[in-house]
Amino acid sequence: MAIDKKIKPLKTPVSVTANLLLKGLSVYLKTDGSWSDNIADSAIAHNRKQETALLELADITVRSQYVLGAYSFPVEIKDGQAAPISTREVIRASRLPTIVPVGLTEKPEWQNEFTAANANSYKH
Amino acid sequence: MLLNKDGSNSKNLSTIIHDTEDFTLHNDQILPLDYWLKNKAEIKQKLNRIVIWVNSDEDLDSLKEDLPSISLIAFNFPKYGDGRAFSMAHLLRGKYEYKGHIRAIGSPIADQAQFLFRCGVDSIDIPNGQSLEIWTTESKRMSRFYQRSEQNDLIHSRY
Amino acid sequence: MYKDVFAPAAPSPVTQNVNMYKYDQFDDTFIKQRIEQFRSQVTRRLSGHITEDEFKPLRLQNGVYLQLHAYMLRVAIPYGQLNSTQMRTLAHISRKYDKGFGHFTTRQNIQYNWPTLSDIPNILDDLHKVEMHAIQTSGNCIRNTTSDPFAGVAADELVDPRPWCEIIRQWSTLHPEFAFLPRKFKIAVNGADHDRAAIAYHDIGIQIIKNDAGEIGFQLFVGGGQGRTPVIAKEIRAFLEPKYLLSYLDSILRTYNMIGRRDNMYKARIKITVNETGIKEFTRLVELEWNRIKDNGFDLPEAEKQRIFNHFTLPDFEKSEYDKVAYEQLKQDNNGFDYFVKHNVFGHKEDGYSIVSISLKPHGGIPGDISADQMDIVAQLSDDYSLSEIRATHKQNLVLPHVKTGELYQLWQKLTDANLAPANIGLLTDIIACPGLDYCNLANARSITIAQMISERFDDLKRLTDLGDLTLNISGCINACAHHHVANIGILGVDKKGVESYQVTLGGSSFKDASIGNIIGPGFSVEEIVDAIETITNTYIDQREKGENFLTCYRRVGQTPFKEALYNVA
Repeated sequence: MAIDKKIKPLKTPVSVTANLLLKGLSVYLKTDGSWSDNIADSAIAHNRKQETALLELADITVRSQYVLGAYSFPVEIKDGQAAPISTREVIRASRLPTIVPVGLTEKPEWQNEFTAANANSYKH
Repeated sequence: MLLNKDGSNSKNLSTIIHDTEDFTLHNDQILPLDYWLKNKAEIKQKLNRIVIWVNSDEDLDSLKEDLPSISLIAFNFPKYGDGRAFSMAHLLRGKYEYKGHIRAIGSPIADQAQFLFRCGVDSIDIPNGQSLEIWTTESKRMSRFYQRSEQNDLIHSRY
Repeated sequence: MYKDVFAPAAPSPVTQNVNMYKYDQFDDTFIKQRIEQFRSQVTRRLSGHITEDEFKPLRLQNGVYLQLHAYMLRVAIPYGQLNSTQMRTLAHISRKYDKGFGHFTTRQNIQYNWPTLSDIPNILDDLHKVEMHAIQTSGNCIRNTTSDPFAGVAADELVDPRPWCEIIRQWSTLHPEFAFLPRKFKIAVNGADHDRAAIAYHDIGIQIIKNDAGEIGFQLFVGGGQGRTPVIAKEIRAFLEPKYLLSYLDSILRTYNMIGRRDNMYKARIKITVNETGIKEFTRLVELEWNRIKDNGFDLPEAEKQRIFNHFTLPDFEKSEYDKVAYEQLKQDNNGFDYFVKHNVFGHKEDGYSIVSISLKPHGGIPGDISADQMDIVAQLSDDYSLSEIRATHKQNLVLPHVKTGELYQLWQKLTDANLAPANIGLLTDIIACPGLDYCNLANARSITIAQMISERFDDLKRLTDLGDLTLNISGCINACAHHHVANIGILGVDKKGVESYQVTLGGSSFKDASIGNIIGPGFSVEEIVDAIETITNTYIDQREKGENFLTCYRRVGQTPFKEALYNVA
């Protein structure tokens, strides 16, 4: 791949995340402009130009008031898919707290809601 | 469009002057406070109605002695979250005993309408593009409030 | 074998004759209209008529945040007082609209972590049915007024602060002038000798006092706060006649609204205004304004004051007699009950009655969290044992305020069955923790996990009792929601290049001898922090003199021995 020297590289690749307006749930931007539960589905930007393009794509659904608070964040690439790096983004991507809620001895069913297998896609 | 405290609407016939570099003074202008302070004599001579606007970081004291001759004072909301205009309206009525017209301009939001009227504001210049219907609904939202304020005739208050 | 000694609990009273403020038509309509306003705001948002920037202040004024995983709704519990019907409604809401639990906060509120935006107006409808709301639980406005959780019943109380809190609640609710302040604004009122409301750390702290002539009045403090710049409030007026409370509050708020900084949100709290202006000049400005408006109709008329006061007359207590010998015997025979009485039971104004604290800090638990089933149990126990009344505390616990001393044992057994009887009130594991990075959008590190690990390490009541009075608070970021600055041992979670790290402060206090803790040295990792806490408590045990609690010991010996132990420096 030819490297355009004018395009500023990023220290790490980034993906774009936001929250759904109705439920507030965290979602990840896919290449087609829709959103997924699953961070592994997210589009990855390797340089500033791609990052700007992803943020602009996200902004379409921000402006149509479907999601809010879109931002880009560093990811690492595992098996060609985006994975979170910081503790914050790891917790956010799991879409759950790291603890078992009060009154329960093991993780309740709702804590298994969001997995790669049953990831939901959100389009507007 | 103006929303008045009685719920009625009227056309806004005045222009808010922000830039005083290159302009001709005439009636139906809302003049910035510092322009008024520097050109009092000329304004008094040329205009039959003195109408000025005050930003949220400006000092009401500078208006004190001329208040009886000013027929309208507009408080500017540089952004809706800057709530100084509420206290300024209260002080203008209560402390400075201003009897003229008070208007809110700039970027207030519909949900502030009732608060503004209760603090002594008479009319609000609704920002362009906003729904008059929502403003009107929100300005009558609550029929009662707990506390006394500067303008209590519009609602049912506890005391 | 004890059943014969202790009479069975009285049948549940169906009526809610709790001595608390009850809505009349005025309040009822007021709340209804406010909900309709919020409903229309939500509709406007969901239909795309307003942007998030426009909606944010509106949702915040009704306690709706957007957190890490979902929306969060904060419901006000005015000055922490609840009746059993209200508690059942809180349980119902957590089942119907949330995930079956709730979180009690340091400001005597409760939070739900998972509501859908469109459900929130319906939640508010349910709350309205039991005379509750979420008004001004967030935003740059006057927040829920907090108070002593033992208000009205504490043995050391001078005056019941609750009617004054209610007066402040009504005055501050949709106050037309103070809904868009430079920053949030918190008021606390304390009416007892012991400060259980942490008034020194509020924007306005009100201590009810008696002057030399025996008259009741208010000693007012201003400019206290936590966050990134912890400040102890300064006295603005030594004695205020009660009839001037509202005009004086108006004057403080108006002065702050006019001169508080709006250029930098980190410098916008009144603590910064007071520091930058100087307490002397700030006081002069407030008094100037107050002299203009007092006796001008802004204070509460006597009849209206009386109307509010009438709601807070204490209940008619039945005579409560019990066999003191048998009671002492029970404590001797049962270690768990003995600890419970020692740590969780407090003196009541009325003979034969006790105040019981329910600790929401079980072994390995989440501080302040309570399941819907537990909420229902607490409601039922309050019906059976506490005249249907419950309090929420700023330490994220609950209180049953009117328990017959002779029924303590039965109550303790039932609380134990529901995992609601940890006997650790005021001890090291009575940890205040914010939701931290598990839920909060602002957090840099997890708080709950650390609290859980500490409560697992320090699980022995004998050891905890030996460590004595000790406060340990954990905040997941510098906003200090868990008040780490004012804990004897404070833990602050920070982000070190995406990894959690924990900074320790020692020597803080939120009581009458208020002080702000000092940072002891470099931070600790998740793996290291519990050992570090144990090193600190071991150092205290080595250093203490007879009868010295942690704070007194620390104040005497200073940082050095703790530093040496923690960082292995000779």
